[in-house]
Amino acid sequence: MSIQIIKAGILDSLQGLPSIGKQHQGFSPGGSMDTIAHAIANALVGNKRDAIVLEMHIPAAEIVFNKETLFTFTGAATSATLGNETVYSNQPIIVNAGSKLSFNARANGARIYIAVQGGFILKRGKLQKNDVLLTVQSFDYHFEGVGQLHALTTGWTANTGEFYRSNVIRCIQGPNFNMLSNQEIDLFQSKSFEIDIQSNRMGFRLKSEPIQHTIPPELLSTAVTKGTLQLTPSGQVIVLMADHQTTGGYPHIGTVITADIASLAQLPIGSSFGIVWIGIEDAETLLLLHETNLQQLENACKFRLQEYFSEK
Amino acid sequence: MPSYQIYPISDQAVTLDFGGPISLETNDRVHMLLAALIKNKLAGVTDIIPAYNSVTVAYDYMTVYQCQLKNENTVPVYTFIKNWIENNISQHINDIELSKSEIIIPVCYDKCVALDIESVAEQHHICIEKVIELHTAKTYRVFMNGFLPGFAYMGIVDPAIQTPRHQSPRPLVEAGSVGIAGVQTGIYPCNSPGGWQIIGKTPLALMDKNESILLKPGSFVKFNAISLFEFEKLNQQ
Repeated sequence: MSIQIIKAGILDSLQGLPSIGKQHQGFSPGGSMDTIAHAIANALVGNKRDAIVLEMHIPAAEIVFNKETLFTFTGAATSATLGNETVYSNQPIIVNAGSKLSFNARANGARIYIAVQGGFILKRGKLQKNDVLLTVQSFDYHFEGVGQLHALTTGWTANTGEFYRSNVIRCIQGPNFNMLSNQEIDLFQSKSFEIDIQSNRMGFRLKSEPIQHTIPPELLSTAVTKGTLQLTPSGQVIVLMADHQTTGGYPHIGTVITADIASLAQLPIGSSFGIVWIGIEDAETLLLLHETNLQQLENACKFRLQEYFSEK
Repeated sequence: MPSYQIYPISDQAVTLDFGGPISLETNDRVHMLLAALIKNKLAGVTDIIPAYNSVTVAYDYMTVYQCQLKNENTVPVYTFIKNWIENNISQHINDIELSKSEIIIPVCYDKCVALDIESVAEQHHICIEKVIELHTAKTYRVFMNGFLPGFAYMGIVDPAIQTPRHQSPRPLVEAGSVGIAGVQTGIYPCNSPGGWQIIGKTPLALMDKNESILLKPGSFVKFNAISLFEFEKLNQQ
């Protein structure tokens, strides 16, 4: 199976989960910006969580399926046009060979994820028009010549609402939090941060009133992570995202909790949010809750797919 | 009082920071701790990242939780990881012997590839030959990798040629360029924007097709001056 890009989007790429084990050599973990949408997309088509998906920014690419398959889309788009029909997000969809899929520019987030049965074979870099994306062969579910386009398990949609929030991003305090002035510490949580146009997969620049801070001590580079909030000398905040460098020398004032990274990854350029501080133990509790809910959703997806295909 | 600080930098990463300025002694401790942590590995740890004077342990929360703590739901995972790191410091770090093997890097210091060597020499009121002599005299430690895959932060540069980085970075520094920035020296593994003072260029590839890198954290490096002719010969290979 393969799909072809017939019209390139602004930034389309194939992504896995963040890679591990090579950050000490300077390799960024990379991977999908929104790992929740990534995981749900894979679950909906019966893939393992780490299968490769297509990540698209908005405006998104237009694609054509070269063979019938099972696919889904999650993340920023709620609907798409498949041939002449409208199809909806977070549902497994059986599609015929030759069908075209396109998205309109209105979106409910910043990034769309497409998973196909078996998963894509990784190809690095920005995708171009006419690129053909091959998939791993899968023998899990069989179907052929479905005759007409239709969404599988009509009426069943994975509910993803509980994984996202839009107004407030929760963070733990970082090692250089004490660089903020006392007045700033009082004000920080009532400030509004806007995602600047100079934001990308490496990091988001946040526009806000300048953060009042003391002169930084001489800081040596240390490791940073996805979600690290760096304070620049001019008092602006940068939050590091999937393609971040592995080490950094800017003051590290806080870190977005893992449970809220997907929400942040779906905030489009120009949108605003607030930051609240929570403790490490609360961050862990929320991570565990999110992961438990995600695993439940993955199991539900698996169960639905098995049920559907055993009835065929 | 312990001679370090330890704190979470995320809900899935803990940093142990020995503090102080860049020094070989502190970086030795970093690499001894790194070796101890790798030797006494723990399920769920995904990355152990050394820096000048710190070690960061990144972990998969769920794996650590499921392997270690599911049945005794009292300790936060952060505390568990912190204790594991501290146990390695107090019990295992002194058993570690660091490797002293040395990598020789051929470097051409000719002005046509060493864009800043003349100005570095001028700033320190010495001749170019002296810059080359001082840069090739020392054995450098790879303190850490960062910035780019395979970029090695090395030191400590002789005070007589230490030069601060450019005020604004060059938009393009070519792969193989050897730079200095304060006490540090390094080699750009690929074409990249960069602000270091470029005093030479190596024909060696710092990363191969399989993304295996030449200069790993903890290695020792010595530079060997070669002529432009030799550089071009090696560069074509």
